[in-house]
Amino acid sequence: MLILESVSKSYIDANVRQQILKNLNLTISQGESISIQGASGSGKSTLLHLLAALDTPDSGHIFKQDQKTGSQQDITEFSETQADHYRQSQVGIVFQKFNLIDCISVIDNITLPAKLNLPSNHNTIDNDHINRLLEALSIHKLQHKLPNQLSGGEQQRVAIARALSHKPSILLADEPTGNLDNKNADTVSQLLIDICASHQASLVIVTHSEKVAMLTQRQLLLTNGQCRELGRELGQESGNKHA
Amino acid sequence: MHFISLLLKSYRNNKFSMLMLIVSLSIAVTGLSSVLLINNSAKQSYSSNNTLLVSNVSHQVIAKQDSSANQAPLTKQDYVMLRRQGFDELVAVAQVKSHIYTSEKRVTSRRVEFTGIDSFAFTSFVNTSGALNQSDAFSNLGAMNTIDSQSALLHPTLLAQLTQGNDRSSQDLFIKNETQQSHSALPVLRPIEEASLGNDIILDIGRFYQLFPEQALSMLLVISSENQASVRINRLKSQLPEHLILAEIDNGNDQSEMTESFHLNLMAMALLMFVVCLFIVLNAVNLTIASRMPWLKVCRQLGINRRQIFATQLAELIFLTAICSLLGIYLSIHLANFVSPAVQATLEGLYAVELGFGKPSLLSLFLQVFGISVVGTMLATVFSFSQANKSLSSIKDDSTTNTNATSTVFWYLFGACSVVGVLILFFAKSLWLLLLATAFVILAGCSLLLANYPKMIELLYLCIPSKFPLLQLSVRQSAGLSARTKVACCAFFIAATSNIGMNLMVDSFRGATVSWLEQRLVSDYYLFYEGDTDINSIAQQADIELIQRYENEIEYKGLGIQQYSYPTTASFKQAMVFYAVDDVQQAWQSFEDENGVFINQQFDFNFDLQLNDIVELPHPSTKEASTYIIKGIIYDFGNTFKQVLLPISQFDKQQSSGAIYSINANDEQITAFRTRLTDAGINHERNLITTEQLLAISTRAFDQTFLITDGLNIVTLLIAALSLACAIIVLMKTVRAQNMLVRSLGVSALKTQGLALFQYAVLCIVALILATPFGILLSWILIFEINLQAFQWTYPLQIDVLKIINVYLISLAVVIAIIAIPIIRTGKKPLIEDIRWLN
Repeated sequence: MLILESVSKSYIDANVRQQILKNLNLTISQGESISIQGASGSGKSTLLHLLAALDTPDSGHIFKQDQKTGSQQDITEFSETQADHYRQSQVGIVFQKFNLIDCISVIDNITLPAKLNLPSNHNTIDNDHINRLLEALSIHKLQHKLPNQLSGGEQQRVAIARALSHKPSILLADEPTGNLDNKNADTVSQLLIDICASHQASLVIVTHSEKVAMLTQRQLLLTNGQCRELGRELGQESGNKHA
Repeated sequence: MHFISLLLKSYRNNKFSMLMLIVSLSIAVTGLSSVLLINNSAKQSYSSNNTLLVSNVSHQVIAKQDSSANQAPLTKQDYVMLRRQGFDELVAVAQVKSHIYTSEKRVTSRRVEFTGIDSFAFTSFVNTSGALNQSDAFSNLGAMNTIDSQSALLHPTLLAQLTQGNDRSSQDLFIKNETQQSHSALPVLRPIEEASLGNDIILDIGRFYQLFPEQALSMLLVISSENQASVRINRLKSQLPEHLILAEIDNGNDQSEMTESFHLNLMAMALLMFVVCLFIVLNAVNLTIASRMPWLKVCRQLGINRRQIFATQLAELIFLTAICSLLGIYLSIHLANFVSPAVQATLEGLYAVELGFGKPSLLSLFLQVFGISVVGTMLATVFSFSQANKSLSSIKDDSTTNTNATSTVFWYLFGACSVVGVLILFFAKSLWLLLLATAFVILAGCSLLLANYPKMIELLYLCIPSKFPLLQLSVRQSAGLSARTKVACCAFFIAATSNIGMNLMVDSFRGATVSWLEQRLVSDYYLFYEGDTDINSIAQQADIELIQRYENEIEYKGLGIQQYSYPTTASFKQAMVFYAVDDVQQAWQSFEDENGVFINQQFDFNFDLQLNDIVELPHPSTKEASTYIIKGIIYDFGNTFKQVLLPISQFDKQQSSGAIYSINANDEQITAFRTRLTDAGINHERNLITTEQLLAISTRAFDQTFLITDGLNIVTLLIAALSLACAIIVLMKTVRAQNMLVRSLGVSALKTQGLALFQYAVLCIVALILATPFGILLSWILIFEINLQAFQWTYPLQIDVLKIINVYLISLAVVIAIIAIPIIRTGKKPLIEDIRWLN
């Protein structure tokens, strides 16, 4: 579970300070899927970067709570090494531009995070888990191809498999369907949500698509540096989407 | 115009890449300009040196040099007699080489040539006959008009060397006359800026004879005017005394092979630097265009045609080349001044030529440098654009090139270069062709490297266990990089090949020389003395065993040969190192029987002689032509002369002279000998040295000679590393996305930087592995083909694995040290910046 408390973040652009996030509070439960919408420059990607410990807020805290022990760690206080370890073991990221490594095969791309996360006394990764991902994303026939031999939709499915190969507790997706056509966008979004649900991984998806947002359990709108729950605003019962 | 302003605005975003382009161009121009400066200066002073006193003078009167014992020298009386007969056009010249001293020490490292000229006869003839106009090279010596018996002319650089840049007064300088055991002060030294004045001091002949009273005249120059030349020369010829001859002077067309080798060496240096510069420019231009490709594509989409883009970039590069040429020339003048003494000493040591202090024209240097650089830039631009044309036509990334087809092309290229190289090597009889063959061999190596890069990297990939995924990834990325950095990789391959080749060659030479010296130097001490004092009698007084090496200058088939005596004691026999001999016992027997002789490799290779061939040489004592059988060919490293060895018994001890004495003595005897030498006025500190000292001096001289080789090796490595660094800066954008991804997976910045370095290290290691056999091949060509052709000696090739590993480590260290700068610079950026840039 991730808990954001009064998180603020600003940038200096052309000598003018731009406040992106203002005292933002948010809780992301384990296994929950959340979509974040908002205008360009509203801070959606910034929020994602803060969750991944890629960036640090100007003020506020982001607590990572261990479900089993109940212990809390503030990821904004992480050293660079701790942040690296946190990303390596608990975070999966899906980028808009796929960002596959073009000199290695699909299977090598997918298994890379799993191999990086392998304990020193283990020699093999969980191949069953990888195979299940390949099956679920329908990319098992592509595993020996190189990324530049795949279509955009196929590449994004490979990127999702890669983000999940090391069984992260949270998956952060930054406009994962932004470069895909409607058909592929629908398929990839659904796969993303289903797989995260089956792996009990939290999902935070940044999107401009209303359609994609509606697939998640909670829909948030980021505006003026604050998050608003769209479901509540529209008078919907938030519980009808929750599992 | 809009495109030009766009181009200029792009500088803001590509500051570092533009800086690298300018630095690359400046380095290329500085290198080329330095070599041209040194070459021009060396050539100018060398040719001037040869024509200092003989330009436009076609004849000279000299003493006859034949094998008869009663040779008469050219004397002052001969000169006076000829001038009295009306030959006003004769000008006497006397020359001698001598060291210069102060009260504390000797100030010259090599002997200065003193030239005494009859300035009165010379100036009066020039003034009255008008035979020589001012544009003549003879106007070099216009200052002779003002010379008097109290002054001498020399180059300002030599004066600065003698006076240690005014630290010491020229009035404190003197020369030693060892036979008279007296000192003679030098006249007032007047500097004149004249390239022909190298290591020379020109003075009036009257003053010359005050310094060197026993010296004979060297020549009488004949400087008659054009229209009456043939008549007067015929008259002079008929009236010469019997012991004098009229000889033609070859004006600067010295045909000796040493001169050819010398000029070839200078030319090879210039060509090598031109090729290296072309490489740097090609690499820099290629990478600059590659870095601009994304926005050039946008320009194409906006309707700017290809020709416009090409013309604008070409104009931009020519403009940059002009600026870099000026900067490069400025830097090269300082660089040339800095390295010039070492280069001159090496060339003089290798080719036994005297170099002066030439001063080439800056305008002609700029035109040469700018012309060559512009040609290089244009070639590079055309080549880069022909490669980039496809990319400019489409907006798609064309990274999916057909690697198999490319590999096949490189295999064909390898085959063609190998065949041509081997054929030239097999049939080549000139140094030029051998150098061409070497170039083909290196090109074949480059082709083999490019054809096999992906395969070798794949092999390396298979060797890495799967539990090191980042190393595996890094090796895979190396394969991709190799395709994008072909030029830089080839530059590194060439640098590594030449490094291994040169190092093995120098090492083999050093090993052969040291073991040869250790075997040859059997005596405890060596005395070098050219004076008239009887050393044998001094040795007898000190009760020590002394063996003098007698020496004669003879001719064989028109070329000068050194004729040396060689002792036939058991230790000296043991000391002899043969390059070729049939039966050592029989060879020595024949040598002692005065039938057989030993010749050095220089003699052997120059005349293409074999063992048991018969040669006709003057007898050392009687000077009569005698026939000898070649019974052995010996190593004689470092000697620029052809030499024949005969037993001491053939030399007449009364007539023969020799400056080398081998001495075997215990401490007591040598102390006594030193005292006797001091009593006789001979400086034993300088003249008498131990075998260990001689070995140390030889090794030091050897290392100094190959200082330039080491310097060139480092320069080529630095250039190769710079090419790679250029490539990395431009490719950084391509690699940045992948590095960002790896970092987002939780890999630390330090590891990512380490991996980036590892990728380039993999490329270098593969290049080094392939460069090793080619480096060995190169050293073989250098030792057995080029060395043989240029210097007429050869030696066994020694392959020292440790030396090769040393080259590996140094090459990798240099490359990694340079490429680490851009990699660390990029790695310092926070990851979030990369992610924002990517999105």
